Amino acid sequence: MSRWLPSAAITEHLIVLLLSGGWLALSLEHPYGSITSPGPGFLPTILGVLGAALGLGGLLSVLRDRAVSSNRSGGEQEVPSLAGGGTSAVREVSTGDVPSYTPDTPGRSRVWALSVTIASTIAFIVVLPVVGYGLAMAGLMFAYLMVGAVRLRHALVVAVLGSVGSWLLFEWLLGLPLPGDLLDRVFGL
Amino acid sequence: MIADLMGGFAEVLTVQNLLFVFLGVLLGTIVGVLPGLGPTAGIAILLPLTFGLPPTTAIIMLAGIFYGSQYGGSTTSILLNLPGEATSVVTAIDGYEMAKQGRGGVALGIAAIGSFVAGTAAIVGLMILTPMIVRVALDFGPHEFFALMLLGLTMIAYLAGGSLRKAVLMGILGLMIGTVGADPVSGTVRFDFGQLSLLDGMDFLPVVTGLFAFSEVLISLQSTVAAKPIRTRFRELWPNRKDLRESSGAIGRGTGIGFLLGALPGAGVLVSTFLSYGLERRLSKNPEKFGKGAIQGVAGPESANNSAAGSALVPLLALGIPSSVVTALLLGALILHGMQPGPLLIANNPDFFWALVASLYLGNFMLLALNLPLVGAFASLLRVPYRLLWPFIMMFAVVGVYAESQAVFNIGVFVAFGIGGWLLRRHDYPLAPLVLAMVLGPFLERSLGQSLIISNGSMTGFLTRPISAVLLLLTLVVVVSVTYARMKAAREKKQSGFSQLLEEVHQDD
Repeated sequence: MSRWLPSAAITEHLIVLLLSGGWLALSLEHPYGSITSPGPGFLPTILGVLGAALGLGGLLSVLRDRAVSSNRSGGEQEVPSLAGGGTSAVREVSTGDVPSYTPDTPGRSRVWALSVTIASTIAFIVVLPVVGYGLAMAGLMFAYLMVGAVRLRHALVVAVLGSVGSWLLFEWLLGLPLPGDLLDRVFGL
Repeated sequence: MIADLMGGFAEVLTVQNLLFVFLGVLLGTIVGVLPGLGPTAGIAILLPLTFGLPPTTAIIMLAGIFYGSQYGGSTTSILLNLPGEATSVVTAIDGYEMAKQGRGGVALGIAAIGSFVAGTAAIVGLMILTPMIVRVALDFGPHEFFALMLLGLTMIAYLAGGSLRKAVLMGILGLMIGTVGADPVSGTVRFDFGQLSLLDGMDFLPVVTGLFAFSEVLISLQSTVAAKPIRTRFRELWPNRKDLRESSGAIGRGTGIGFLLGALPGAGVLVSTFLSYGLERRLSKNPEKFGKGAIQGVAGPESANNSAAGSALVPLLALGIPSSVVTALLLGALILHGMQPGPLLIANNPDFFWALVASLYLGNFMLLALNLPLVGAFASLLRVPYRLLWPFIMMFAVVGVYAESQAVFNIGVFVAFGIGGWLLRRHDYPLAPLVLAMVLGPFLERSLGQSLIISNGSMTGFLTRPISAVLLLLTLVVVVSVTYARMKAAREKKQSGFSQLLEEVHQDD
């Protein structure tokens, strides 16, 4: 069954190809102009073509390498491509990658942690215009602290203090307006 | 020049500006110390704090954060073997070994001294070179700017290391993001999807904060590294005469390498630290000591990264071309505060430039004064559980993104780029080409359009102008040479793999 599933590399190149294709389609809605008099669609179209070409080139390279290694060994091992567009046998580490530091990881699943962090941030966007900054930020901080397995009581206190403190810093001290709500009424604004 | 510099000091030596220099270097050191934050995310998150400030004060503070983070990064490298950011990776090799041998204080002390010397030399270089380059660049027209930005983007993608295909793709993605909003030539709005917030293009701050701060938090939620920083005391910080004698050459050479490479787009700052380390090992009479606590292995790279940080400001201030993500952020900050980057920045705002230079001198002194006595306090920050730190990092990031434009839409952009940045980093896609292309893309497109208008639609204008022609030729040289080198390396790797396979086959026989 796994032979019929696309590998990670193929999926990656397909995504690049599809996104570039979509971008190209959107770019063609604007006049291209000409090479000597570029229109608003000129650069976006070129970028779409380049992206699609890279995606297609990478995809063909991976498929070719798979075909070669299948013929040789019957396995699914991928071989580095000469053009550098295929999958390397060794995972390349970007120079921007530095180890992360979490001295005490909570005992909850990491998927759960990621999901709650993302979902709570999205929920913040939805509730912010409705309930105002103070309550929305307190809720967000509480969710983040619960991801970190902070005790419930402590999380509540820190969340409220964090919300009030940030409001005081940004709105009161720096004069940057935040959506009006309970805190404005409490502090008489 | 001296009179201008004195004028700069006069501008900086006010209570407000001194306070913000101090605040900048203090925050920068904290940002550098905390692993997982880094100067890019740190500046992005702290940028909104400067919105109410005069432009000069704002940039002074942000430059302080930039400089301070270089100092702070060495603390975690030496005491924890966890570089606070990429440019401190090399320092950890020998710095941590020194700390294990009970010489952590000496390592920190020599790192601070080297950083101070190199930083000061870089500021002198900045002060002398920038006006010289500006005088030449004032003759630059759209053709020259287009060629220069194309060279910069090419170097970022080709010299950054890692997969070339991925770096180029990120550059293309960055240029695509840069085309959102009004076309700089015709004014036609593109890719706004009916959103008012996208009429002027994708806002820089939510994109960068999402890519670097939010994605870093998401990555950190997945990983566990238990570490205990090694304790050190103030009285242990002072290197003795032998240490200073052994380090002086490394500091001088690191300063030179860092200054030369720091201005180069691509991984100039990062490459300078590796080059410095390699050079010191090669020149050393005891190369076997490297990797086991050689003081030159700390002095050289730390000097290189601080010198490179200073010289990275040269193309930014003289030409308006950032050479790294951090300087791209500073460029964004300049624009946010109503300053027009480019050769005219200094011509139109000389007071700003000299105040910035003066603040860098003062900031450098403050960093030396802060980092030596307070190293224990900074190191103790590492004992704060990360699960308490990251919610506050996110809080600052979210509020800052909202406060910039009062648009909830931008928080959505922040989330989207945070998730996107996390996925890209998991698959080793470099983010630097994306950010720089996004920043430079609109300028590139505008320069191209203006060039073609000036040349009546003829592309030969790029070749008939000598500076433009040379820059385009350099771009071609970079593309051809790097592509050839990578293809050769890939072929040799494949052949060595086959040779090994053949050997194994023969052994079996």
